[in-house]
Amino acid sequence: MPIHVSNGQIVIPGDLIAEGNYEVSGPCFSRGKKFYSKVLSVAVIEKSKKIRLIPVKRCYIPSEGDLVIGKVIDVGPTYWLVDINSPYTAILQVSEIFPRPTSHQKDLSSIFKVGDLLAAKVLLFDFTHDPLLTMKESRLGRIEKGLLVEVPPPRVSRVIGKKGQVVNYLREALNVEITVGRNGRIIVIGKEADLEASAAYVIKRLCEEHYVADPLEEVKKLASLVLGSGGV
Amino acid sequence: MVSGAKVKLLREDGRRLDGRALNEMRSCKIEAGVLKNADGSAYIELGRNKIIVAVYGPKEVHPRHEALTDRMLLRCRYSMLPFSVSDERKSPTPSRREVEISKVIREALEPAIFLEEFPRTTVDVFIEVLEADGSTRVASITAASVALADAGIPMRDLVAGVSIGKIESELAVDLNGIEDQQGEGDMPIAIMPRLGEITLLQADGRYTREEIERALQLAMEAVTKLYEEQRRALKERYSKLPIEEVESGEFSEGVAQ
Repeated sequence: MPIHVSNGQIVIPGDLIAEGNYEVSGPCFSRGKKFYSKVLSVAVIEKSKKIRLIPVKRCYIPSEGDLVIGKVIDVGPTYWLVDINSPYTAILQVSEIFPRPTSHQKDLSSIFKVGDLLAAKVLLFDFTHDPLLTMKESRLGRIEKGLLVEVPPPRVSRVIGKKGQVVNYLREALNVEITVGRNGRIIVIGKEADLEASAAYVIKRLCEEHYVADPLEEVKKLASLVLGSGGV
Repeated sequence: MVSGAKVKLLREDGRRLDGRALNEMRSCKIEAGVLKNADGSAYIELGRNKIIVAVYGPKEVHPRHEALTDRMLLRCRYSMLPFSVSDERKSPTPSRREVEISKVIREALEPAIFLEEFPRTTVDVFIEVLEADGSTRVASITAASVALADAGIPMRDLVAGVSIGKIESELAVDLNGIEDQQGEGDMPIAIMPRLGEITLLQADGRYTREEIERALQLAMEAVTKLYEEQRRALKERYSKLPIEEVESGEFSEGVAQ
């Protein structure tokens, strides 16, 4: 039973990917043992029986436990509305900030105001209600400094790499602190603006192409380029 | 239908006024991703028709009460620009015809989309007819499905449309403006080409049972050609993505700020 695509090929919605006992991951649907692509994506043949579809464009859909970087867009009486680069606006409830209900009504904009960037985790999401965020974890909270890099959400996994190899390499090589949000927003904090810009450049370049076979190799190449020229 | 003197739509040699054979389509060119600010876009030239389609979404529904709890809301707006027709300037206010065509296009696209994938969101499709010369609704559907795919909306298949008409008692493929006005009938058909499912079938004029069957067959043939063009447009758009060579001098501009 054949595979109907070649490695790295662009497939359009409705294209037949494979027929038979295959494992197709990514946005696809099946009719019997036939697998079809759902969205415009790149087909990657990982093993002889395993095919992965990487969407070219896709909005971010929250998933419980994801680290996201959001922007406060509204302050309510007991909550903040946070834009997480998704069709669903997230809610951060005040109970996530204060351990128990406070009797004195405090103005919430004294804590986070409109326009603040936050690192948070998705606590709960099931499509019937807007996603809830939490900050009850270390290293979550308002982002005070750094450079915001935006990449397409389907390519975030490339920036992280297998077991975080890619992002760890970048941290070490460029001596910067990187927070990767699953929603395609990445914060780079470095000691100097130059380092931040170099890291941002490497991340941007890494996410330019639809598919990179070995992100770690690619990032090493890009980083050496940046370091070789002595920063920006 | 325009009354008055009847125009002969077939020439002596059996060809149509623009020289096409009865089963011949006008030349068709599709381009995907023509607008930078839209999530997905497409441009189609079908003969003298020029149509641009922009897709935004999926995004939050405004006004919020319109949101559907179990599926995505698809909204389409078909509009003809004031200079799109040759006779009098068309008023820019949406006419009864445009509102109806918007609805018809939406219903022709809906079966192809996995609406249940993103509940409580919306996808807006804006169709602007720059130049009209018959069969704009089916050309709009053809372009809109390319724009939807370009926006990364999950779909079962693309949708392609063609109009089959009746001129001088003969079935003709892909009517142009004059054939549409003076002909005996017009039948816009939209099909999901790979699945072979019909998503739109309208008709005016009188047809026999055999004519309908023949019309569907002609539509299927025409749609296959359109589908090839749609595929080509999408593949071309994503294979030509800029992958410039990195040179040490070049990158100082790109990211410095």
